[in-house]
Amino acid sequence: MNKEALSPPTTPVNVFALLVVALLGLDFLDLPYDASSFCGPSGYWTIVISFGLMVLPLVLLAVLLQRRFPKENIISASKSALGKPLSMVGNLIFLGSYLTWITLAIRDSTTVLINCFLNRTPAWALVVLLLLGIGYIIINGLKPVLRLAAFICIPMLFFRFLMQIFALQGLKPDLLLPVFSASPVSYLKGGLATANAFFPLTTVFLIYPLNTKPQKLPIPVLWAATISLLSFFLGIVGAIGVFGAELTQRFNWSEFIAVQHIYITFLVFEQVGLLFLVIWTSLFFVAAAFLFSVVAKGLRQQFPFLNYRWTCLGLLLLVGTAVLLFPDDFISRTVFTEYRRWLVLPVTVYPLLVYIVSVIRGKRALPNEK
Amino acid sequence: MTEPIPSQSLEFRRLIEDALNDPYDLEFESPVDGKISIAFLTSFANKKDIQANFLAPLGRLLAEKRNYTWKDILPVISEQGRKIRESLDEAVNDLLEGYTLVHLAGSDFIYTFDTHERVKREPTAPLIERTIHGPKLSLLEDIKQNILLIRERIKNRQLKIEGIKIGARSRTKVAAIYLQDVASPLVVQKVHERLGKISIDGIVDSGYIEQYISDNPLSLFPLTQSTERPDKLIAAVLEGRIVILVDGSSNGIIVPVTVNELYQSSEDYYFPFWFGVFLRAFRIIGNVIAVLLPSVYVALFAVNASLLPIRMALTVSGGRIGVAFPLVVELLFMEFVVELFREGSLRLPTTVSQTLGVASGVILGLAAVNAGMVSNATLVVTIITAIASYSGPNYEIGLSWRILRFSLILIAAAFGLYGLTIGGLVILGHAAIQDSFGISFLSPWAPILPKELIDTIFRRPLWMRRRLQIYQPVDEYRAAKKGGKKDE
Repeated sequence: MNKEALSPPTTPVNVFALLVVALLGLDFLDLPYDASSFCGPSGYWTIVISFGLMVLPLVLLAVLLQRRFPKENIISASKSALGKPLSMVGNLIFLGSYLTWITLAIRDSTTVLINCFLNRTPAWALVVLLLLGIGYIIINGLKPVLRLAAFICIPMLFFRFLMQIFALQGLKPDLLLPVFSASPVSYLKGGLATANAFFPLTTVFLIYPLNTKPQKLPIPVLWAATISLLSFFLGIVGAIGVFGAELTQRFNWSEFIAVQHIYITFLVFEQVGLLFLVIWTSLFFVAAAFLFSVVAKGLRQQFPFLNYRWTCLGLLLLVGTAVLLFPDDFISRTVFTEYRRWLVLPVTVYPLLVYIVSVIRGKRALPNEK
Repeated sequence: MTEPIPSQSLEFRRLIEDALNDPYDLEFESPVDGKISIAFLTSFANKKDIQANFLAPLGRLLAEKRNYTWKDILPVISEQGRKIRESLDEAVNDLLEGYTLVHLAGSDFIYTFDTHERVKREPTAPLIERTIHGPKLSLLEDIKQNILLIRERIKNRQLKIEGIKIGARSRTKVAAIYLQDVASPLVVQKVHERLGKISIDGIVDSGYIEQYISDNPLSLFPLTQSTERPDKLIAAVLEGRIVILVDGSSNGIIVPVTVNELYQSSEDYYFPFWFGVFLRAFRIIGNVIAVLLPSVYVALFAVNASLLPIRMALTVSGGRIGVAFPLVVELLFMEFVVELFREGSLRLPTTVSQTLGVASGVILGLAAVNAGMVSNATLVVTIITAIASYSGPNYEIGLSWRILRFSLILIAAAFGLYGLTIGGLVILGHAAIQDSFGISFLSPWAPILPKELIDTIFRRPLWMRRRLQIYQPVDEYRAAKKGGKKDE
C-alpha cells in the first residue's frame, strides 16, 4: 500500500470542493477571448465542446484506472504498468506540466494584479508574498489545503456566480447570434483550444485514492466540472453578450472586464471588478497551493529519499525564480498562451498510456498493495 | 517513602515534623493521658472543629474508660472522610490535603479524617460570559462544588467523573467528566494520555492544563474551550464532549473544540429558534467587523481608493486634511490606545472604571482629533471595531483576533486588498492546520460535513435529535424516537 498516495483520506464532498476550487482558481480569465476568436458570437459553444472532449473521457479514464489500481495514484500505478525507468521519465513530465502551469498562472496573475490592483508595487514583492503564504500552508501537508478549499468553496462559488450573473447586465442578445455562427471545424478547434480550462481536473489522477468512497468517484469530479462549465459559460456569454465578439478579442482578461462594468445603485463600491479579483485571488491561492502540494507529494512518491517540506521549499524557489525571469511583455504572453494549450497533452495522454499499457501487459495493483 | 507508622506517640510526632520540616501551622493535640495524638495543619483545619469533633468527645471517653482501643474511639469522633493509613507517606499526603491524623499509641496504623475547611465564596453571576436568558451562576474555585453543579443537573449513571492529581508539589485535583455511553472513546483516551503526561511542579489554574493538553500550544487560536458557565459544561457533556475541572480554578475546560463552538452562546438555545438564529448571525457579523473593518478601511482609503465612489473618497480624504500622520499610523495609534484602555480598565476598581473609561475615551478622542493626530473617520472605525470585538462570547478567540488584527492592518497598508486577501487566507490556513483532540478546528466547514452545517451560522432547532457528528459520539441520538425508550 502506498501511504503517500492515500493520505489524507477525504470524502467525495471535499474532493468536489478541492477540484472546483482548482478549476475556477486556475482560470486565466481569458476564455471569452479564445472562444470568440475561434467561433465569433457563438463562442460559448466551445466550452461545452471542451467539456465533451476533455471532461467525460477524463472521468472515464480515472474510473478505469481506479478500478485497476484502487489504492495507487498515477505515480505508483505507472511503475507497475511501465516499469521503473520509463515511469520515472513519464512521471517527471507529468509533474513538470503542473509546475509549468503554476509558473504561467503566477506570472499571469501577477500581471493582472499589477495592472488592476497595485500599479506601483514591483512584481517580485507580489510573487514573494504569494509564495510565502502558499509555503506556510503546504509545508503542513495536503490536509490544510483540503480544508482551506472546503472552507472557501461555498462562499467563493456564491460570490463568483453572483458577480457573473450581475455581469449579464446590459447584455444584448443580438451580439450572441447567430447561435451557430461558425463551421464545425472551427467549433472543434475552439473546443480544443479552450479545453485547457479543465486542465486542473487532471489532478484527479493524483488524488483519486484519497477518496473514501471510491465507487462514488465520478460524482464529485463531474459535479466540479459541471459547476465550472457553468461559470465559464456565464463568463463567455457575459463578455460576448455585452461587448460583442470583436471587442472581446481586444481585452487581455475578458472575463474580468465583463465583471468590471457592473453598476449597482447604492453599492458602496465604484468598481465590482476588483472584488471579483479578490475572489479569484482567494481561489487562485488555494488552487496553486494544491498544485504545489500534489507535485511535492508526487516527487516524494517517485523519489522516496526526498523530504516533503524541503521539496516544497525547493519547488517554491524554483517557480518563484522562473516567474520573475520571464519579462512581462506582449510576446511572452502570446507564447505562454499558445504553450498553455499544449500543456494539456502530457497530463491527459500519460494516464491514457499508463492504462493502455497496463491492459496490454495485464498489470494490476501489486498483490501486496491490494 | 514507605516508612511504617511508628507505635510510639513521640516517635510519630517527630517523624511527622521531620517529614514536613516542622512547619509553622502544624499542631499536635492530645487528650490528658497522651496515648492519642491528633495532628493537623491549622491553615486547613479549624481549631474549634478539632476541639468539638475530636478533643471533647475523646475527653469524655477518657473520663469513662482508662483502657480503650480504636473500637471505643471511632464511634465517638467525627466520621468525615475517614481513611485508614499504614504508611507515613500516605499519612503525610493526607495531612497536606487538609486531613487530621489520629494516632493511638501501640497501633501501627492511624486514621485520617477530612477536616479541610475551604476558603469558599458565594456563587456569583458570570463576569465574562454574561447572558440575558439562562442561569446566573458561575463556577467556583472548589472542584467539589463544581462537580456538584454538574451532577445536580445530569442525574445519569453513565456520567463518569475521573480524578487525577497533577503537579509534583501542588498535587492539584483534576477531574475529567463525560458521559461514558456518548463521548468518543478515542477522545477520552487522548484526554487520559495528555493529562497523564503532564509533568510540572504545580498547577495554579486551569490555564496551565489547557496549554499542556492543547494539540498545538503555539497556535494562535484556542484549541480548548474555557468557560465559567456550568450550563455550558453541562451542554458540552450532553453533546459527547469532555469537561475538565481543576481545583482552585473557576474556569472549566471543554474538549474538543471547533471554531464554531467559540461563537455560540448558551442563550442561543434558551431563546426560541428565530431569536437564536438572529443573535448568532449578528454575533458572527460583529466578529467579522471586529477583525476586518480596520484593515479594509486602510486598504480602501490608503491603497485601493479607486474602488470607492468618488464622493465618499473625497469626503473621507477631506476629513483627513490637517492630520499629521499617514492613515495606517493614525489607525495603529488609535488601536493601541483602545488596547491600553481595555487593559487599564481591567485593573481599575469597578466603581471608577466605567466612568473613567467613558470620560477618558470621549475626551481623549476629541483631543486627538483637535490636535490633528487622528481623523474623525478613523475614530469612528476604531470605536465600531472596539464595540464589535465584544460581540463574541469567548474571550480567548477575541484575544486571538485582536493580535491578528494588527498584522492584517500592516499587510493591508502594504499591499491593499490583495495583501488583505493573502493575509486572510494565511490566517485561515493557520486555522486549517489546527486540530483539537484529533478533530479539525474548522469543522464542520472544513472538511465539509454537510449535515452538521445547519448548526453553524444558524442555530439548529432543539427538536433535532441527532447529536453533532463532529465529536464522533458513540450514541448518535439525544433522545429516543416517539414511543421508544431511552436511557434509564
